[in-house]
Amino acid sequence: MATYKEINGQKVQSLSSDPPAPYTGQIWYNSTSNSLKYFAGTASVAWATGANIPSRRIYMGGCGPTTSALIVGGSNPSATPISPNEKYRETLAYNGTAWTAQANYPFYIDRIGAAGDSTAAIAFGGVADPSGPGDIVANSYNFNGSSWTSKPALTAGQYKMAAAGTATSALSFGGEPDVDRTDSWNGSSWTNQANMPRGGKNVSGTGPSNTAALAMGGQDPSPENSFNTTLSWNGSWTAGPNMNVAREGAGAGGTTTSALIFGGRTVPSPAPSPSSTSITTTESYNGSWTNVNALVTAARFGAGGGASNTSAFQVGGRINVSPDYGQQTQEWGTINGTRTITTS
Amino acid sequence: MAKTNQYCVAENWGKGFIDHNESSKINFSGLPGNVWQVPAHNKDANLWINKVLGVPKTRDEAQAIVDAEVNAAQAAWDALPDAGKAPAVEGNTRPADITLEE
Repeated sequence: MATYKEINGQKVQSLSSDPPAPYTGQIWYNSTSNSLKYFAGTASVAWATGANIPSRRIYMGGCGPTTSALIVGGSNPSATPISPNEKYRETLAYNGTAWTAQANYPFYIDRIGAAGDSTAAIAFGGVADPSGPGDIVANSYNFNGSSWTSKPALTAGQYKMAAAGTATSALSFGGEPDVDRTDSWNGSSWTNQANMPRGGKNVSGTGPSNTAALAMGGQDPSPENSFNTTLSWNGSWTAGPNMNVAREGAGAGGTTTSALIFGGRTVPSPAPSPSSTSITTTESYNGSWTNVNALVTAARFGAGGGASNTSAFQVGGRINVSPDYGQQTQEWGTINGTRTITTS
Repeated sequence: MAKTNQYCVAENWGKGFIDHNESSKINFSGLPGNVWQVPAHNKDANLWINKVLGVPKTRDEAQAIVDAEVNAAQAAWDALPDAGKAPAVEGNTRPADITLEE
């Protein structure tokens, strides 16, 4: 019987760490992690479809990495356009395979901010249903993986803001009615911080804490033009490199050094697309912005999150396909590269 | 003129409908009526249509499906009272016609 070496010309090596420059098809045993691995070719990243959410919606709060994502609230219009009170209080968690229903948010809400993941999150602000505590709210609630608990409010009612951080260290920035506003959460209270040098509504945000965040794009209140600025937060705001595409209402994920922005819309839109058209353009950030593979489904005003510029997710939002509001999940992930062989 | 696109009807079931490999190799465009536009004369696109059990459509057939969906959405919009057409959601406009490329 032919041996593996006779077939492939190489032995399966036992190595204490992965080889620095494997060739495509190389197999080795990693004696440190006790795993059999192979190299499937040069790594790249692309979007794929994920599990659909139970129903179409826009304007949810979203946070977390793809394997521990959380969305809360949103609007579920029964017709175009949305009526003011067609909102959700549903909370959904994603493990990278399926969405599962969690404890409902205390009231019906959309245009809400969220930071953390499916096991621990803080949600804040938004526009509540008339049956709730008011119109534009400042309320914040902590999610512990099973229930929502009331926490101190934002320093002012705010909606359509960006968010970054965790359940105990979060940042809220931009949005309406105060487009420049920055609020910081330390696990106990919200405090107002330095204004954004260029705020907007529908700004995109990501970052690991209340001392490290990125603000990307957004829309001026009047005239309602999208912009392509990047701002970095470390206790104060600093301008970074501009994105290639001006956009608002985009999804984002990652850190201040490894981030991804996807979708949204550009107003005014380059001809011939009308400004009501969502875009698929995806950009990767590692200190500068690079266009990468586009979303499968163009979307804006949905939810998104992610761990880095190689792992992110996009959910729902306004799409360009009737009935306009999406049910899709899209996952940004790595293909090829070093893979682990598993057996059952 | 050689066609550059092909069309099929397939319902996006979610996870696995389009995987990362397919997305990196194929330019997908989702259209109303579960119509998908992918490159013509493309092995990867052909394999994907087979995988999702897509029902192939000519451009004219696909255009008819898209038109029916868009017309229904436009009629629903037109039937709304004027107050209902207010931009409660930014960019909320009457659905636009879509013309498919050969």
